[in-house]
Amino acid sequence: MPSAQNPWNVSKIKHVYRRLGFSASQDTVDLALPMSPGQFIDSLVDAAFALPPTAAPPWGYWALGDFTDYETENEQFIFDWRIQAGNDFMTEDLRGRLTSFWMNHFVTELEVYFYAPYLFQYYNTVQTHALGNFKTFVHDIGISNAMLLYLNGYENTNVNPNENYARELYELFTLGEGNGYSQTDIIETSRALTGYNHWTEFGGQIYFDVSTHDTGLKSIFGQDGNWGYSDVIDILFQEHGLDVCKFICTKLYKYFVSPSVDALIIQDIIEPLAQTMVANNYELVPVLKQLFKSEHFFDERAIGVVIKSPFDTIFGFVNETEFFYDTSIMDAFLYYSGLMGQEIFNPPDVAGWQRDEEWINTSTLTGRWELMELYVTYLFGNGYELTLTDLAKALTNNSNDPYYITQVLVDHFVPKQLYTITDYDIATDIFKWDVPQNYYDNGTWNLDWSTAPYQVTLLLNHIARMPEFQLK
Amino acid sequence: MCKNHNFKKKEATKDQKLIHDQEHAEWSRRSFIQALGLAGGGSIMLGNAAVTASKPSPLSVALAESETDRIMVIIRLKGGNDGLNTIVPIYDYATYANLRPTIRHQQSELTNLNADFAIPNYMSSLEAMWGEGQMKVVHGVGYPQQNLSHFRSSDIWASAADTVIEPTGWWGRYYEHLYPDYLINPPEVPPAIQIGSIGNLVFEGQETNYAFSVANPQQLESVAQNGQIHDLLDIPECVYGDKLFFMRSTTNTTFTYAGVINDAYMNSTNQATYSDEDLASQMSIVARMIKGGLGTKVYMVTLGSFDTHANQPDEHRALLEDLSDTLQSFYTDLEAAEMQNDVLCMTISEFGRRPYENGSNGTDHGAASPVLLFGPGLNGNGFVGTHPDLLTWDSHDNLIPTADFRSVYSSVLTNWFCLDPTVIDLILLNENYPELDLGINCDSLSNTDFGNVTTFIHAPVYKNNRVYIEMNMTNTSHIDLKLYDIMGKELGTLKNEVLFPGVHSIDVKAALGSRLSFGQYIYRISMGGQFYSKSLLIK
Repeated sequence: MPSAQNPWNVSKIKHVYRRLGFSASQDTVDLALPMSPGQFIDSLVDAAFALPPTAAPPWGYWALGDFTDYETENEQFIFDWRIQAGNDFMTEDLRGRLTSFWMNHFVTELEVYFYAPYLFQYYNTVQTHALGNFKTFVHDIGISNAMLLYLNGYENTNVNPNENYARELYELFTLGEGNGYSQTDIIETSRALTGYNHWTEFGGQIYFDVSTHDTGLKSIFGQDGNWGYSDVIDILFQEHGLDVCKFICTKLYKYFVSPSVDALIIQDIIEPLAQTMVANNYELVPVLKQLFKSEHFFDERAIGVVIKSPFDTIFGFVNETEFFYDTSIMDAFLYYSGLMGQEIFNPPDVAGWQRDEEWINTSTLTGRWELMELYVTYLFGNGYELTLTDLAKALTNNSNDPYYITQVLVDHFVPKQLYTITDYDIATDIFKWDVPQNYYDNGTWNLDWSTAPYQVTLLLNHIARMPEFQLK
Repeated sequence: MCKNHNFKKKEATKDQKLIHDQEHAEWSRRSFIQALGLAGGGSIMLGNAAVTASKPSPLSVALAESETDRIMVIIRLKGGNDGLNTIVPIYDYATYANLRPTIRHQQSELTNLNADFAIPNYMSSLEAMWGEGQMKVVHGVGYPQQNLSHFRSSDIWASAADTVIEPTGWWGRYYEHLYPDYLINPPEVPPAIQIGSIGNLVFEGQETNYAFSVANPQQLESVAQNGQIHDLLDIPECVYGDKLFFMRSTTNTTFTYAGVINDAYMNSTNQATYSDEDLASQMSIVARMIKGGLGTKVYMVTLGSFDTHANQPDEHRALLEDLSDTLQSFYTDLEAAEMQNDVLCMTISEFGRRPYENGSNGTDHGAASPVLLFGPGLNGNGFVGTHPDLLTWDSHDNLIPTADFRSVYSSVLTNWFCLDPTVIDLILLNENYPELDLGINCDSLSNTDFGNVTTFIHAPVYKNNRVYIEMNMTNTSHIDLKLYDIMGKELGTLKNEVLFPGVHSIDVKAALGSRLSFGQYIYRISMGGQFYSKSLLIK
């Protein structure tokens, strides 16, 4: 935890906001300065826990028969919900962050089921449990309509078993590949999960009926019985509760703290975290608080080590600048994020986005640059150019020193001061643009000049191409 | 920054510390080098003096003399392709139909390739290729003890190692040996190009990943014209340094290889019609790069998902249509530039599918399935090997392979790329696999005597809290071993003398004689006018 040697400062607060949320404005960051680090973390976790899920839209529980013009309406609702989720992620701090995280853990791919009501219901389940009880989460997400379709639970019957969900439940959602389960466990589990194959109308709630349930004896993790769905979850946690917690805590650590895990970290941080999770009967709030208050989280070595996702890149930028955006701009954000490999609601496969360095290759990187350039140029050309200079003025107390302005703006967006100091000079040259040097020397130039918005545009585009800008 | 941390480490036991250090070495070295290896073409400025390019290694000379312009495109069918519904075993249609009564192809929906096997009618684009002798099928390809996880099995196919976890890929290992000085002197064109399959191991080496990722070559043009190249040697320590390195070097690569790729792309056009579908879009780019004379020998494209647990007929059809239509367009396109004979396409997939259908109009994860090969270089059509017995299954009810996928790899490396057996050994981890007659041969190439092409083996070794550079000398030779720090400054010469055959171990700190702080360094061996470089970690 921050102390005299490792002080509590703006850099640490930004670190918290970038990891726990999608960053924050300077004003929001300043508000946290007088708090103690522990208080601050608690307040963020508690606020996220208390936040009710996003209200259901009118169509949230519709069945097919409730639509008037299904094709058009379904597409429109899905579009609307994309925007809603984008806004939620960006504005809900830790709850938005965790919703995004869990949707990449309990993966479904919208393009497989493509049905707005099921999308809302899945999203609602994730939001509801994001800081709740993990065991309940596992139970509820498996019978979410979207999941039943995505991993073929809906087709898994006593006469025709389908192994898909059983496998991914263990391999990806709770234990990890090959960790404590066998192919037999998978087969027996898929038998126990049968029965959720019924709906009263197309696109309605999928429910359980014993007629398609395999009522026979199953042997799962060495336990024999006429197991059903809830039994599977109970047995899993009963026999492998600690393993599940270790698996989840490792994921949380890698996502929130650092992608690099070694034996010491497992011993010092992850195993105690897993113990806490077991001791609290799988509640997530105590685990999250312990993780975010751990020595590692605030250590200098944890800062700047996570490569931003496309969402991080653009949502973080918007929060840090409070620049204008509306629905069509949010739509562009989501569209470009998709081009860069993060299509909202559509991870590439059931293992989710692998993140970290896999976000970045020569193609996705140029995509990020293009999106940033597009957004900033849009603001410049559509009547928001003064908000660009307003930001520079606010952060620098209306300085007219181009080097100082450049340095403050750069440092506002990167996790650590640039390692190669001459990079600030390069950025300053770009910021100075074509304005002759004498106007800087004699103090005539300032941020109210008509050229200033364009200069800020050039600088922001340049910052967006800095390697450091992709780190948080 | 990183040195003065106040992070209190608990006293770990000696064993644990060793694990920690080694694992730290693993991830830190790997990501650092991965980043460094992505450095663009040309030479890095080391110590303010441009490092001269090394003369080609005996290996690369031998290869250059033997290689013509032969190219391979690996078409990855991601998700596990249902072989039985691709190459349908009509020699026992009754059994096939019984296994999958709902999702089978009706006999009227099939086009015979011969009396025993057929393809669905919607793959008719391949019928012409088959007829012209440009397609072969290898039956029943897999490996023992099939792993049913997409991710583990894909790793197995990419790494060519099924019994141990091998973090490198078969092509990664090849390029590692082809470019021993890659860190300092990468080649001017990317060794491999991949579209999709980010994270796949095929091109992964110990030191770096040897493929360049491309999705939209046109993007690269503007970047090539106005980008800034970043300093790869001025880097801090720890994980932050690793990530910064990674970001800087990817940024650099984007500028450097971008120009080369863009040139090839702009230098050619597509002379065939491609659809808008996934594989078609990828292959149209590949065709332009090949025709534009890029020089890269291996490409990998990705099509998927073939993981048809449900609704297989429609989904599988869409994918196979894309595959067959695209291959026809691709070879027509190459023919316009008379390059069709030099390009071989090969499909891979992590597994086939269960012989019997499940209750959801689909199939679950399987084992053996066919590998499809395409190109006039195959010198005729045909089936290679025996189809797996339809009713003899492994313990998971899956078809038992009749060929190992590494036999396919080995046969391609031997008879398409005409590599030396010792090189192939290195690529396939010193295991031998029965050769398959794929109809390809090296006859059209000049017969070069490879002689004794040996590779020089050297690596950093960590034990007892010390770092050694180990070299395996096969001949007596003079070597000059220098150490550089991360700023590019030459720190000193660790060895400069004649060494006799055998393993030599040099204690880095002792040889240097002065203090070395925590961090990453590069060592470079000069031997016989050839340079070899790797990075190491000092703790």
